[in-house]
Amino acid sequence: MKSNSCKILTAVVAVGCALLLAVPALAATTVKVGAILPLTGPYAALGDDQQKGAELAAEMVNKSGGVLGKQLEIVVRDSQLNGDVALRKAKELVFEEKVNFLAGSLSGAVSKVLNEFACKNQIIYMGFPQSDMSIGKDICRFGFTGMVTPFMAAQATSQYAFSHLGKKWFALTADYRWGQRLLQGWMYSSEQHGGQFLGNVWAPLGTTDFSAFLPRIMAAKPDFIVFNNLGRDQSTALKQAYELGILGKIPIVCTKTTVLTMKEIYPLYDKSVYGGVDFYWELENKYPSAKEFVQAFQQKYGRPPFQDGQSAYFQVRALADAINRAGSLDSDKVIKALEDGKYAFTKGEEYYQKCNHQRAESYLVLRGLGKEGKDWNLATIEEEVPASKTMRNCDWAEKDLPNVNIPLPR
Amino acid sequence: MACSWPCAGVPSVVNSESKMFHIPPNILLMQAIIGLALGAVFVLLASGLSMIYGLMDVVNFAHGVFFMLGAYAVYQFNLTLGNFWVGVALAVLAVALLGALTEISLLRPLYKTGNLLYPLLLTFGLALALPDVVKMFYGLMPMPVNYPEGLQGSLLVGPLIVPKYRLFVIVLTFSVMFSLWLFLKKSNLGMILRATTTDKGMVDAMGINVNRVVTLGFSIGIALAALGGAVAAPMVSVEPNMGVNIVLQCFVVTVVGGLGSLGGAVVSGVIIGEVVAFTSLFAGGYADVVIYFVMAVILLVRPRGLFGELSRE
Amino acid sequence: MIKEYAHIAIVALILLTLPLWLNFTTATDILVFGLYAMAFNVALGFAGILSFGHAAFFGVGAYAAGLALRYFGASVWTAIFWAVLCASLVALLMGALCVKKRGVYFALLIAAFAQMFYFLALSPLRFITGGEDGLKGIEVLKLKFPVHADLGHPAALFGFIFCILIVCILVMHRFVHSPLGSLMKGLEENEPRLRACGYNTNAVKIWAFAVSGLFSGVAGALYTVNLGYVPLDSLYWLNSGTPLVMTLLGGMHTFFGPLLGAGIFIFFQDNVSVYTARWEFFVGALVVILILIFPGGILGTVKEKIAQADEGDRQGIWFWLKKLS
Repeated sequence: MKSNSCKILTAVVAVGCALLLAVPALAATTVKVGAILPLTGPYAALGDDQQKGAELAAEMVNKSGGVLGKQLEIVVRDSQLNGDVALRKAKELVFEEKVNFLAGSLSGAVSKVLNEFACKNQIIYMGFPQSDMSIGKDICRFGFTGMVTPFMAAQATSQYAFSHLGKKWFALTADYRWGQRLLQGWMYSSEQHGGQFLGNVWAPLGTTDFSAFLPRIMAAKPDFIVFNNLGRDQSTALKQAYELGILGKIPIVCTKTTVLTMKEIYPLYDKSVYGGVDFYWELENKYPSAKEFVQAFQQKYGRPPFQDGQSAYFQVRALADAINRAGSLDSDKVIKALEDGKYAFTKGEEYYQKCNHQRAESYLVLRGLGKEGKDWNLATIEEEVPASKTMRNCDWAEKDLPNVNIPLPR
Repeated sequence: MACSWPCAGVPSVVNSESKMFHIPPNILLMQAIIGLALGAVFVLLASGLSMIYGLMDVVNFAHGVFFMLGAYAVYQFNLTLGNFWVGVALAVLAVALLGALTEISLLRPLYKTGNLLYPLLLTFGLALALPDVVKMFYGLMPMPVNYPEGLQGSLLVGPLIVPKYRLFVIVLTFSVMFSLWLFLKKSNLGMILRATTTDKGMVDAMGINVNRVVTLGFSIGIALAALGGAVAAPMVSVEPNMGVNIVLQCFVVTVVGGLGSLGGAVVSGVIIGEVVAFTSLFAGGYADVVIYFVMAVILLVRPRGLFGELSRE
Repeated sequence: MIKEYAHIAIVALILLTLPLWLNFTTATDILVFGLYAMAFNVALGFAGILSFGHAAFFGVGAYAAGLALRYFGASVWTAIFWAVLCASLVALLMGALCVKKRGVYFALLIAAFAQMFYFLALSPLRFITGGEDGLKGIEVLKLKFPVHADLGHPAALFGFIFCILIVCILVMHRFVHSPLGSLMKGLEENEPRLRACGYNTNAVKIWAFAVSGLFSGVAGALYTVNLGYVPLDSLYWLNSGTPLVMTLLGGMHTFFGPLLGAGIFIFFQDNVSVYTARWEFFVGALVVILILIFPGGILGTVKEKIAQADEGDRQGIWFWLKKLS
């Protein structure tokens, strides 16, 4: 018995040493982008999409000559969807791995933390998610936002809703900042388009049972219902809306949605459900850049890309493009190049707004196909709303108007 | 809520207070039914946890994981066999068997240490490791489980809209609880189980194989958790971390009812279900924290829970 | 006594070499969590008190330090002072309130209270704490006393935290070997008997809990200093499980066990996740294996083997380790 447990202990120590020594020697002949993504946790599937998008972008960049003649390398770390873990990984990437640039995060909250870190340490950070880092006090010249802001998402979907579905609306909102921002965006838009706000129900993040929240919505008799939530919350809410006889009778507009949700609750995501996304693979029929991106992704990974893979891909390619135009890795030069550039990697021509480095991205309104959908063909694109209709101008963005002025119902 | 300087210039439609509108009584009744259905899943989980604690003095941190396994099992059986009902039955059996194996191979060796902390910590380790195993086989994306045919949609009872599936869950849970009560009170095996909960040594002295009784009790507890997961599957999102949230609420329910008391688990499950339902109606943002508050109050005022036994404190 | 201090010195030396074979950021994380786990173990391993709410003390310490740094421009030392004050007060209060409950009821009650702190930081107090975003806006920290140092630099940060850790270890060590520490041990071994001897076991429990909370608060403050930011998660009750797992890995009845456990856990978290996102599986499996085979944790088992080594086994490694220690 004594020698057996001795052996076990020795084995454990040996394995530990082997793991340490197996860490490969760092090559100084690459340009490194440290990507911090949630590879574990409830949104791991989307973090995985981001990783795939970023790595595909690096591959495409390297195929056409790389960055300043060197290979572009994506170094990935798991944020566990956690601000402090993400920050620890960022420190490790910057101080130990010596990455040249930072990227990533799926959560807007984490992106703000990384943004602050990047600014404190003067390293460029390409944000992947929908985030507020391009607004108000969070604006910092080192950060670049790769997806629309919650305000923009709300403007895009609400415009469509008020023109096509009616004026009276009731919302179900996840009770944290992202959800609150969406609701504020909706309330502002409602003002502009003659909408009639009937009320809002707050649901704590991670609610598993929405059945308690839905009757109140039904009682108000709105023209359509707005869901300001995502992922598990959204699919559960939709399932239970179906259960209570709401889905199918009253149109539901999900300000942000994912194809994964459509797949998960198939065939419930039908013609009465609308959702907003930053990207949908069907854009390949409209833009040659989308076609190139979607087909390359499909070929490499066996499925079309989701919106998170798209923003990761875009951000990495834009960064590489800017570095090559700047001709150097110096932050000031690259920042200027990023600001001046025009990019067509996944849609039409896009740019970053100079004052807050917000990507001027369009937002799509999708409509579910329900039973008629198949494989990944689960929705139709109802409208692509351009950034010119949704993006805040610099003055408003810097002062965080009009969101700050809109009181939230409690 | 009057809004002063931030709202200057913003027109009155947005500015007005959200009206505390009069909530019609049929909505209140609907809310009550929903609370009952919510409570039903809590009851299944909490009674399992209570039973395991009563029998083994172990708080099963892996309870949420078995709940999750029940949901995945029903997904898998539904997929391969095409029948939801058979799927539920098989899911419960399969996971209960897994529970029995776990108890025999991992927990039983720890009883002789006499330290109650070790089994608890072992279940903690299981709670960490098992979701990843599921991820290895099923990936990260949630699995689709649809409402079974015949129970889709809702019934219209006057002004009330009652979801059929929720009704089914309530009926099923109370039937199962009633059967369990009958089994424990009236059958020989049930009597032995109850005796083991009270005095293990005595049962052993009477020549009954206590180890087997404990395994049986543990399996029943796990079966209840798996049943909870299987019936919850169509209602919620089936993904590897689905057990984490529910295990917290489950603890609260069990502790409030009294660890070791089945009747307590039932009463507490219903109460907590209704509390969550009505908090969601009137003050949605507090729905999460209100149950911790309730637990704290109950534990301070009546530390053994509503029906827990004094000796267990 | 000298032997004990020699042990501490050896541990200090090993810790100093951590950056050499890991790196500064991982090593600093290990120091901070090592302190947290050791503080947790003062309650669990030495006084037999299980709590699922230590995140409250860690988090309160982290926020106290963060608020002092952010809103009052305090120095790092002042921030740590406030963290100590607040965390120990909270621990004292919570301990006093819940002391009459036993075992798992106590643990869960503490968890419920901890979760209320989380909710406080998330909602009503969010204009001060930053709510779900955590507390941001903390400037890059500089040390002015006793030496000038820029704490943005990983080596300086490591050095600073290392010094605080050693001081805390010395104090905790003194505490555990004090008369009150012996009473704690009695509490862990046989509480009714201790009471029969005439001691006020409730008071002992509360003191042990307060000390445990105090050092958890220091760990929280160091966490804030390390990150330059206070995450809301530092208050989330499930994160009380982290020091528990670390303590278990290292050995809960040993003084340095939790520190070793922290090292292993962080190592797994950082390094295994590079190869596979399934690192939780490995940690969970390790916990299960350890409980079944080495319930004393790694250090505990080593100590056992050393104690059992006898004169006859002159070839055995344990015998020689015994001679050395």
